[in-house]
Amino acid sequence: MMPDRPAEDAVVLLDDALVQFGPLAAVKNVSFSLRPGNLLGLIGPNGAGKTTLLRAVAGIQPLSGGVIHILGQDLARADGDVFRQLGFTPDTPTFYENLSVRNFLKFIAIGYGLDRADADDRISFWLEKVWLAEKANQKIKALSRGMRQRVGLARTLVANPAIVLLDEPAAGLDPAGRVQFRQLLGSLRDQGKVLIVSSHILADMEEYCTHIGIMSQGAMVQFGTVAQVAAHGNGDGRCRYTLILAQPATSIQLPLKDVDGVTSLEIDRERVTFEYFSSREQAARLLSMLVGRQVPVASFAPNAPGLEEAYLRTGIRQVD
Amino acid sequence: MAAPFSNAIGWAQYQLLGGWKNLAATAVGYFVLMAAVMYAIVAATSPAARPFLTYWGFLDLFLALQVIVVPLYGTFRVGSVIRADVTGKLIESHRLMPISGFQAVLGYVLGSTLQIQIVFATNFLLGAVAASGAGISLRSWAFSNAVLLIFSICLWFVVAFYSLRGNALMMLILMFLMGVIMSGGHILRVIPAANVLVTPAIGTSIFDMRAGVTIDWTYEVATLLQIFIAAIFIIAAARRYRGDAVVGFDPVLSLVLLAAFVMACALGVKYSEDFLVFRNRAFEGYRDGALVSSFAAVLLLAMLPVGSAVKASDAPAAGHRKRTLPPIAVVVIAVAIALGMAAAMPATVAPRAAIFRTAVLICAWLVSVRCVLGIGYRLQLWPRRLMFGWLVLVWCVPVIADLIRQSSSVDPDDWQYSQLAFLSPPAEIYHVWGISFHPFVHDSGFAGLAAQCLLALALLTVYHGVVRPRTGGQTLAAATN
Repeated sequence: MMPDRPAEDAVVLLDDALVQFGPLAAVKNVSFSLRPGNLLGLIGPNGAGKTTLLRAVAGIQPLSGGVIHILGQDLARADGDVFRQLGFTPDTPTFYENLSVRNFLKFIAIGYGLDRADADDRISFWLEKVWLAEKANQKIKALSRGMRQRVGLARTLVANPAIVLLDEPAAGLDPAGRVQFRQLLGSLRDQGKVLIVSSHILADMEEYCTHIGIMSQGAMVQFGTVAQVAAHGNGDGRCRYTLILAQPATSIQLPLKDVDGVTSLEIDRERVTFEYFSSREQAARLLSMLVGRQVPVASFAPNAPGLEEAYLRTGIRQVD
Repeated sequence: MAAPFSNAIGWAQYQLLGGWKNLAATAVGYFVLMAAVMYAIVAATSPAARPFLTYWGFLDLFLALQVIVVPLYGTFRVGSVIRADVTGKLIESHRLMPISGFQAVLGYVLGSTLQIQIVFATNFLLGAVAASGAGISLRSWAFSNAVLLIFSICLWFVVAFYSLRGNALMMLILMFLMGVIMSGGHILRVIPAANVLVTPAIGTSIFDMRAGVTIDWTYEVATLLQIFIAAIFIIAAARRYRGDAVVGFDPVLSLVLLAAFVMACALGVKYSEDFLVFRNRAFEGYRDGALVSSFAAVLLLAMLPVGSAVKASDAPAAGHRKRTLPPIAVVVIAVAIALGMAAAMPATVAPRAAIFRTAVLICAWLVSVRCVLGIGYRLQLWPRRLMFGWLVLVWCVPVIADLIRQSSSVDPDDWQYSQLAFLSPPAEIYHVWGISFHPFVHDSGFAGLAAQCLLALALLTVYHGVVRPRTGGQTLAAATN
């Protein structure tokens, strides 16, 4: 799927962005654009280039080729005003461990040039929002991983940037924290901010993202709205099926390998998955053939379209 | 002292030191303790034992404490704070903030040393009391402290740059300072530029207040040079702060640093009696050695602008391409600057032939540096290691070979350096410029110099004729980062 065409009002615009480490291209010619209110979810296995892409958009990782425009300015030549609009939380945020949560956020506020009264108000607001108000005067070194993740989030948001980049933000959050986090992202998106979030929790991303980018080996293999990417799972007249057998597949003669149109066959004891034509008539013929050949079918159904299905259909086999 | 409070990094360092409560407690506690000890000892001294001698002792103690706290501990403190942020990747978080590199470096240097500044001020006050008790002018005490403080602050900025580069050069600077103290200044005589720049050791030094420290032209010139070099390092550190791949010393800044260093070297050689460390006459007579070692240091430092230009030309860092001087122009400018060393020599020993010969030598050396680094970058052959190997090979091997030749000969006529040794650039410098000191060990041949020129030409041919870039600039740039 081709990325959206660059838009006039694009807040983030990547044009053939390339990041190389020696012979390895960590990000390969990635192009896309995002407008206010867009929330892009990056999906891909470890080493796909998601973190490097986020670091490049944050301006930490220089590009080997291509260009990134933030608010219309080339990031490589951007001034302090552009960086004021960029917020980035890495997967493991770093802090001055011996500062209290409030003092660390004050440090960030001074760095962003906020005046004292405004800074205090914003810090209190975001501490409340990320559920850390009670820990405000505690030293950061005493916090758990999930809480540190929240401090990292507050660090990014206290400057009120227009573009928020989050690398694995939900890692380390408890279930309640994940729910609250989803609500927070939705609220930021509704405020018109541009967000790029990398995560492995596809169910959550389907809920809060407006766009999805699937990355593999540095390349953006799919990009589009959530509906477009999810529909891609069934877009070419084919879909994935799951067949549950009454006995392990090793103990029976399974004729699927010889059926014309069956691809990507995977067998895991009683569970068999494969790709086949999505039309109901062809599915019904396949099922009746299996039953006719005495295959003990317990259940047979096409997989529901969705992000997970779209991701699996890209052929990326390394799953985190 | 105000900077850290409006500077994010300075403010963070101030908070990490415990805020005003901790700093005030340190200052008051230290002042009360030291004042009480001084009062008790002076009170216990009988009038016959002359209390002013006790005050002298305290004055020496406070000056020694200033040396330990400000240049030594301060250098360590600045370096370790920056290194901790670099290795802990906290610096990446700082780089996201819209603060300039200059502000960041200022914050690191002034913020991390707040406690040291307070102890310095406290020692200064206590020392002033001791100075008045010892009958030493307050002006001398203030001057000694000012020289030490300016030197230390300049040193902190130099260390800030090296700490941002991520290697252990900070430890080398500390070892150098310890070496200066432990050798009684002998190390400074090896390279007169260091003698000029280490202002606390100039002339009678700041430690000899009883002799009366006076502000003469040597301190003024040396302090100006010191501040100028510190400013160069601040610019480099501010650039380096912006990113690991950003070049701190680009060719232009490196050339400015080379010019400042050449000026310091020339001053140190030409006015060695005025700058003479600790006014120690035992150091006199080192002039030829000092000149050769200074030239060698200049040749080494000239590699910095050339190397920087070669990197920008043959392997520019990804995302940091900008137009800069071409390597050959840098070589020409560096040769012109390095020749400034000749100004240090009296007219009688600086004939035009010697200057011309030196120009050819420096040019041949820098062209070979340009080619070796260029070949290293283009073939991706660890350019720095290749350069180091080349340096050892060209500088040391000819001299060692000639020493072996001399030692294996029974003929006294052979017990002098031959053209074999003069294949080495520093040996050739000695050949050209040391002749006024030890004329009997030299001949007037130029085979060694001719061989150096041929070597440079051969490398130039290899670089331009044989070695081609294997890949596009972008790929190569990423590969060499």
